[in-house]
Amino acid sequence: MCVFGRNRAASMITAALMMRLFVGMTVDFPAAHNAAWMCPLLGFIIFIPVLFALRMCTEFQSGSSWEQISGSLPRTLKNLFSGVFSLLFAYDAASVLRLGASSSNIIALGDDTVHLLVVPLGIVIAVVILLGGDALGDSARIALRILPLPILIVILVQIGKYRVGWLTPIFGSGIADILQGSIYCAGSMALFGLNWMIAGVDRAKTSTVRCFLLPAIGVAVLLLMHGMSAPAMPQNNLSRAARIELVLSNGRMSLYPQFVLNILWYGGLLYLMCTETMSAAAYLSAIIPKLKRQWIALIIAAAVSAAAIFNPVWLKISPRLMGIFYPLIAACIALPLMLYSLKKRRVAK
Amino acid sequence: MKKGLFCVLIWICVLLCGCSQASQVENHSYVLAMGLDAAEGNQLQMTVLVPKISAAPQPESESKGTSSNYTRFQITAEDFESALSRLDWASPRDVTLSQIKLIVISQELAQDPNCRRLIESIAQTERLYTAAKVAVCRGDAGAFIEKLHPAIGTRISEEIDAMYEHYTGSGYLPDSSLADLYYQTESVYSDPMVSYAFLAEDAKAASALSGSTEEISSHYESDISNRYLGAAVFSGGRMVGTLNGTQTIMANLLRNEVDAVRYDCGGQSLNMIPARATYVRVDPRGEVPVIHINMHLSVAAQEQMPDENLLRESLKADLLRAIRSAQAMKAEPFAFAEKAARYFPTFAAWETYDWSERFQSAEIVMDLHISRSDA
Repeated sequence: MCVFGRNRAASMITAALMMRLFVGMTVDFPAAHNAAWMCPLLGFIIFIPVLFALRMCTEFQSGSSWEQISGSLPRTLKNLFSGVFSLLFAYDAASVLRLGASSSNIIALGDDTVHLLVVPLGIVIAVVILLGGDALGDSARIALRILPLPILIVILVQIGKYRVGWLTPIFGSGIADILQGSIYCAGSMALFGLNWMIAGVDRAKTSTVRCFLLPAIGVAVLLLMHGMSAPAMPQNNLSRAARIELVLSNGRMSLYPQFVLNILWYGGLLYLMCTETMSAAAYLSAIIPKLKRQWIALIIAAAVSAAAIFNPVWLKISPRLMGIFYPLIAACIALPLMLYSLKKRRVAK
Repeated sequence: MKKGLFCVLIWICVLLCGCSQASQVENHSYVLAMGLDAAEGNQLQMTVLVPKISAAPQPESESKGTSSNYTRFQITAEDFESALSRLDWASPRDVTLSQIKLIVISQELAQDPNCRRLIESIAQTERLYTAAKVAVCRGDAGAFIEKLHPAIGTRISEEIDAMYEHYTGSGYLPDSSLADLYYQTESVYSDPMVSYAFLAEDAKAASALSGSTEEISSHYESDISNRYLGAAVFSGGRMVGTLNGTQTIMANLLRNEVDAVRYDCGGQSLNMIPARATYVRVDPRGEVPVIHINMHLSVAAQEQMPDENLLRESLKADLLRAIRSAQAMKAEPFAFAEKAARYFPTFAAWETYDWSERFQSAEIVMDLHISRSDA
């Protein structure tokens, strides 16, 4: 059984969600342009109903919230929900893996096939699942304490190049694009809400709000900096590769700080991918509790790598799908919770 | 057992990412400088300079003036992409653009309506170093590239870096890269400007005719054929005009992109340092936009300080000349647009306002503060 404590999950969510939101607003869904910084903050507001539902889940005092809730569901329904959650994580991990491989190809002077780049990452996924979620959570906690420093240094070194005027007009391409971006961010937060649900109870108390609000604020600040480093080009429909290159090396900044940012980018992508595959593994083990961890690691690593290598059509529309993740996941969290409370009330009567 | 398995897996990771496809430096043709000219039949002529990797430095080739430590390739093709493809065949090594330092576009090509497409092609070329400097050359860009040689240093790459650091710091050239040219061409803000370059022979011919852009350059003799002074201003993706040396210094002062500049007034050569960042406020609410400029300069004279009022009026006149010159070109390279855009909620509202049109009739209000810099 793949389990991890809520305390570790909080660090995992903070680090991975930060990367997910940044990738989302710069590469996957850049339509909000210079107003993108508003999206994570508005996304958090949209996410509040789901956050309340998640807070209700933390009231359970033993096992994971999902274990408690799904215990009251019919077996088929429980497996269906767990399967959907596992697939959602695996799907997003595959798109992140693909992005990592593309970034490597852009920066390195090679044209390696995606297979060569995906296979080692697949092995990393397997190793991480074998090591367990607690190891991942602990490494996130250390990273969250260290990484703000290099980011701050990069910002300070580049401060003379930032142009505040590029953040105007304040609403960029319009309210509709900002709202779409916000729903995208809320969808990403809801996805990591599922990670929170599968985490077990810890001795130390952890704030549910903090682990979702901190990434939203952190990414808003990073997006403000990103918006000031290159002007918005609303009429230019940049290719995905060009958008990645714009993030990694916008050509206006000195190379040394960009190098640090590139390392953070790869580290962040790797971490995001590992957190998502870990969560996928946890939900898979909720369906088949007797399945050994080694097999889970193998299945998830193989599935995610295969999806990334073959790059099916549904992976290419990942950014658009993230927009509907929010209502989908919100419904998936709300429905079992409602069924659980109905059953509880019936038992009480 | 488990630890052993982990170790094996991690080693496999390392080996898979390892040196199987390592690429040696000797296997690459690193393009350092590129010249782009319009060729006959609507074709594009690309001239590139690639350093040779040899044990000992070679003497300079007398015939062409190019150091023989560098190989020159000249390709003619329909467009930029085709030229790169041909270059890839012409070069016996992998062509690598990640170390490119300078891209020179001939004035004829820069003024062509299709220049926007060319800029887009260059900027979107994979792994091309987008922080490379861009210059527009008065004459033939290929000839300009051929004349490049390490005049003071030992390598052309160092030469270009040092030259740009010196000229942009003093305000003689705009501090802009390929990324700046591309982004500002595509963005909704101010227009881009890049360095203006010419060969010494062209400078003499030009100064005899107009005496404008090369007013400094034409008055000296040197072995260095490649001259850089002033700015080529772009609008709508093509070059629409030039700013001479003084106008470029003024533009750089307005853009807060200068450390210290030399300025001649009343027979004195003055050293001017911005005492604080130039504050620009643009008010687009009236029928005609009003641009308020608040500039603080600290001035040091080598001998005698000229009259302060005379200096202020002279500076104001030069600043105004630079702005009026851009207005005449229907371009705005001073970063005023970013200041005006904040009055509009969205890009759509901003574009409807049509800044480039409104700027032409903008009213300028200048507040110039001059302080003496005493030791």
